[in-house]
Amino acid sequence: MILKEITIQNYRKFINTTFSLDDDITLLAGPNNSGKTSLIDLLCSILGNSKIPYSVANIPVTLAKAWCDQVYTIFSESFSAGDEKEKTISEIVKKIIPSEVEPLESGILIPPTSIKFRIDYSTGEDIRCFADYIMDFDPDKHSFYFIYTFNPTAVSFGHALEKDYDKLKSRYSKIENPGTETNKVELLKEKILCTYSSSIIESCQFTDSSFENEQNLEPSDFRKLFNFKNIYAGRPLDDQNIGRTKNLSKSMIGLACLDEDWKSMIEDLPDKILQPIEDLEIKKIVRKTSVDGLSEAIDEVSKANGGNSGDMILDMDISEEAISALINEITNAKYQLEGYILSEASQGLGYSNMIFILLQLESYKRNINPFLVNIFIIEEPESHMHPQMQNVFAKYLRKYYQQKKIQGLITTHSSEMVRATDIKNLRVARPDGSFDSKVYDFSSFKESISADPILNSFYDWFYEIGFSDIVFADRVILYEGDTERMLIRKLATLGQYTSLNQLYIAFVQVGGAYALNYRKLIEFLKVKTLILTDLDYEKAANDEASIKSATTTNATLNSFYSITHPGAGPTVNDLYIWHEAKENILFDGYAYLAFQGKSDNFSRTLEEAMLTKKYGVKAYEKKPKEGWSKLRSDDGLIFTIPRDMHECCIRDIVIHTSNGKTDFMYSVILKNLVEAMLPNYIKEGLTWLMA
Amino acid sequence: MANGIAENMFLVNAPAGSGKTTLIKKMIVEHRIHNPNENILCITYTNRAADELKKGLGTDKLHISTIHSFLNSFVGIYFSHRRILDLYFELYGDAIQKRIANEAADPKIITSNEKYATKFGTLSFEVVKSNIKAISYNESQYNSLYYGGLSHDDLLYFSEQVFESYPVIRKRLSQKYQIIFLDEYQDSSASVMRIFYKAVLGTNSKLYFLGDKMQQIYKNYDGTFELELQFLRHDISLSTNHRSIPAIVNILNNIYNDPSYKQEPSPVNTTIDPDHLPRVLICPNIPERLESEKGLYEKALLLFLPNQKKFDTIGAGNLYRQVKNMDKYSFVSQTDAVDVLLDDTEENPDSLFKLLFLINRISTYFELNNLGSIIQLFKANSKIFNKDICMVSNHTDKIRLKELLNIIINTYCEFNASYAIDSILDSLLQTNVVKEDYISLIKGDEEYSPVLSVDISEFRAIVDFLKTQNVSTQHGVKGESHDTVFFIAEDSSSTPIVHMYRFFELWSSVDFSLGELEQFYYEYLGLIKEVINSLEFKLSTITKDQHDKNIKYLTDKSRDILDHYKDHEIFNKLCSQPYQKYLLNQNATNAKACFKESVPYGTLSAYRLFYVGCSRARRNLTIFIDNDKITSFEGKFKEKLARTGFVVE
Repeated sequence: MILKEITIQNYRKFINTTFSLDDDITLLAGPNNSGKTSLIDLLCSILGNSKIPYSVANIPVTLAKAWCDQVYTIFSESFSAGDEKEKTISEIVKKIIPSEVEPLESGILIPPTSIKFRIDYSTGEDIRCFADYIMDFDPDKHSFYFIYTFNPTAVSFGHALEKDYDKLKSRYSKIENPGTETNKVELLKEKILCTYSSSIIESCQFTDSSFENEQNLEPSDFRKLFNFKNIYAGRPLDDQNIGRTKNLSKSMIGLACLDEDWKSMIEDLPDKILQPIEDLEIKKIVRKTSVDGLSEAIDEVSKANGGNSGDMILDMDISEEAISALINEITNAKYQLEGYILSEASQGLGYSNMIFILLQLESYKRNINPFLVNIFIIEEPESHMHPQMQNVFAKYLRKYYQQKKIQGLITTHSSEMVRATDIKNLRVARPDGSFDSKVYDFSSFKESISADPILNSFYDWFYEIGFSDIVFADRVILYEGDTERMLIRKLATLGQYTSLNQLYIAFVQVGGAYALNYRKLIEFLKVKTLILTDLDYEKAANDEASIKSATTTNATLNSFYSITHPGAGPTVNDLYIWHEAKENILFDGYAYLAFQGKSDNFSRTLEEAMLTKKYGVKAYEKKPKEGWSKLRSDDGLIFTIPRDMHECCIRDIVIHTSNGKTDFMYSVILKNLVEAMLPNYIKEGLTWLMA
Repeated sequence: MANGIAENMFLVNAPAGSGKTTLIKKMIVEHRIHNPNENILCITYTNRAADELKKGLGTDKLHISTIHSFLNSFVGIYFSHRRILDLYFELYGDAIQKRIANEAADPKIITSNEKYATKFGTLSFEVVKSNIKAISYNESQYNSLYYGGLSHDDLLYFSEQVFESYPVIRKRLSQKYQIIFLDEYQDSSASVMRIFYKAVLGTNSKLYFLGDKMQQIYKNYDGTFELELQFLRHDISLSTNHRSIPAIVNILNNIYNDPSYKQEPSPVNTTIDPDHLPRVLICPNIPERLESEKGLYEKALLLFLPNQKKFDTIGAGNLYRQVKNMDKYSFVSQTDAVDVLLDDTEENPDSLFKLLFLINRISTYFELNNLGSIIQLFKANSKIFNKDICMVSNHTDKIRLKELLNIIINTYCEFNASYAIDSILDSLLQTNVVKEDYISLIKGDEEYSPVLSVDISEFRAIVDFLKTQNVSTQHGVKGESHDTVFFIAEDSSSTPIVHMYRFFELWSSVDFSLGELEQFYYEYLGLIKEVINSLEFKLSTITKDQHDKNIKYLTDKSRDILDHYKDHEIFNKLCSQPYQKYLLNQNATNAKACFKESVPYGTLSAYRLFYVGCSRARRNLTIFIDNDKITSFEGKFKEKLARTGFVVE
């Protein structure tokens, strides 16, 4: 039984998102605050044993606000009518909750948090626990469908209003009465929302494959279909060197208790232990010190009573529970290393964390129930581990889940964990606008490229390299040379560009021929990507006319241009026009192709553009050599002026500097000339990226 | 108790349309807020009502169920206790021994006795006694005496005996539940009311009896709890009618004729205009007039009394005729053909119709491809369905079940060919979906054979009718309401006995309320029972011999009764004649007409039906009266109708 697909609607940041789960491990990655933990919380509250009450925070803010604005008038009208409590409540309920009798009156409900589940089984599998929820007779279908919904009912909402009536009423009357407090309306709306939220009740239905034809089932019966366990991110680990918590030891013994051998061994133990205690005549000592003294008094009293009290004796009984408790108390997990014994806490948190997870898995394994959906969630298993350890552990976990046939959901924000799994196992939670998040399902991404063998092998390779960075990033910059990266890193520390530093920017170096390969990923993830490239027209063109009619060797430019203008390669002039018309914003508006444009003094590379900007000349304009030398020493820049030329242009300088581009960029940065030399095309690109 | 009033027990009278269910829900919600740690028990009359009530309330510290399932779980835990077994044999020992002896040589009992003997070696009281390890509720209409199985009625009776004999169990009830609701008390047996009354009396728990005597439709209650009812607190009253317009509410108040039950129309309903004022049509030919009125009000709910007419209208006339002819559903029996044919819940007391309604639900689910709900039905009715066949534990079972169900549903739903009900049973046997025992019990019972040869389409017609329900009998489901109601006044001399025109005649000349008529009926019933008990036979079967032997007793009793009710208007109008006739001419024939409850009962039930029928109407109410049947009291009747608020045409 496999939990195949989950759709989450109207829950916190998730307005509507669907993702599939793999048969073994599904990795849910995402930056902080992308909704990973909320998502796990939701699953735990539905499938787990811990009852988490529905909270106001679960209602998406945009929906909550729109609803509050809508119902506010209903509340204020009902209160201002001045009817008695009961009537006011029933009026409000009638207007807000749709009537069961007359479904035409729709009521005003917040679109409810709902989760749709699809569970698959294979032909040979035993489905007795799920048979009650089959909704087809189709021999080719192997799925069960469930919807879990959080909504108030007329009764529960009435109940909540009754509870909160006085508070609501008093907030309302504050609005009516003149007073100094501000945002009184907001306070009432807030209370209304709280009341609504507290009346929300869970319900569960099984349905057909289009999630229609709903039939009720008890939420508790739905829960029974899952063997669900979760290791929270905030798990207890022994980091205090005092070693008092001993979580590992406890987990180990807990695990051993499930073993048959342990049971048979421990059976005889009470008697074996009792014997030496008896031999020591401990009872005698106890008796001597206490009972004998007491007995005298008892004797005296009992004589007066008719002497029927009997003698006091001591009895010893050692139960199996007592033995387990004793063993728990006296066992310490320690590490043995090259002959030294080290305590539980000595190997660092990362190690303890790993062992803790393995022990939990081991004990879960024993409870696997083939009739149910077995699902084991680990939140951030990478905590406290260094990158290499993360990678090894991730690979181990994956093997473990596969072997034991456990379905696992693992959340992470580590690129190492991402790298260690396949693309098809990856799901990424990412914000989609300020109030919406989505889970991006890479199994479908992988499927979409599988028809193209070149692209397929490209992504397999790329996955190991820069891919995981893109997954977590807010923005992506694809660049060709190291100098571009140096420039932007520096820029991010300066003035108007500091907001770049607040974003997680993935820098990915690409060869010009390959930039187009990223199109699928950019469009899939909807991540804003700035692609930096050079105009790179033939160097020989050295006047305006020949430059404008020149063509470029840059594969990125040629291929991207052909997206909007299929056919022969563009001339520089075509590209200038293309750039000006903003047609260089591509891929549903998620990619910006930046290259030297009309305002960059006919430059064809980054260095040319920087130098022409600094010295206000066109790239091909020749000037005496001495002039260049003076400028170089005045500004403290490092570049090579061709020795054999009397007069030269910036193009010549850049060609001769081709081996020292990095030194050049260092000099720009160290002399604080970055802003002064920033080419327009990069400026525009970054402005687009930051928006 | 102050002034004999039980402080913690309430009688909440809830006339039609007064919002009783809403009140219970409200009381539960309020009680929970103020006493979150207290347990609430709510007893409803049907599972359907229980489900209705459960909606939106959750199950936290709240137990809602029918009286049968409640008692079965509450008292059932003691059913294997030695002392309870002893009590069982004390109460049922005679009946068991009588059945073993079978002096009348009833062939059915002979077969059943032989079956027992083959199974257990011998049949004797001692063997039966030692074989019964626990008693149980058998969910059927008959006791299974040899197996300790309690029927519907006997679960209630036996539970009362258990509560009586073991006060500790009674105490457990009041300690567990701090607040108890008994819904539709008027249809509960006196045993049930006594169980709760005695358990709660003098404790801190609260007990609410909710209902409306006007809406009594079952004959479960025998009038032996009247005194206690009077001593309950009456301070909660539902005085708003949320259903009907003021003109109809006014009529209802006049018919009820009891100021303490007076209802006010709801403000919303005062603003609604009817198409016509409530009216009575006195017709020379009812069917003709009905046709023309139906043309004007297409959606009117037609309330018929005689069931045959209703089932003819539905298209299931033949089926009704055959079921009604069965011994177990004729005349005096507790259940009648209507209950059996219209009860689509799992409480249907008849094996065949319970099965057919199940097949119908399966067919509905089948159309929706909802196999899951079918499987749940199978599991919930494990006494009917064959577990081995109906169990789904892998994918191939799903495919297999589809094929089996196809066979059954094709027989059930085939519109072109006309299959008899029997062929459904055959398809169930063929597919082995239903247990062979279950079907052979039906097929083996000769009583069923005319029913089994009826076309299945007649049953489907009933199902369709239950979906739309714009034809109803006056006994139909409670709580149902309609914009426009046509009430067709008719008499019925078979079950249910209704003397509508006798009621009209009495009502035209005597001023009485429900309480007064009821009080007379229960008292008169008591007197009759006394006579029958002392005679040890019913007057309806009296022979000349029996009469001559008892002539003095009968004469004395007739004089006593006439004397006792000398100035009693109701008695004189309804019942005095046969006694006077008998005293003039004492013979067996004249004696047969005396000491019968049917006349006052038929009048009383006509009174209730007339009220309930009128209360169904939200806006438009029309009563159809047969001109020929009122000639002797036409003038007074018209006056009375006008006083009540009708326009007479």
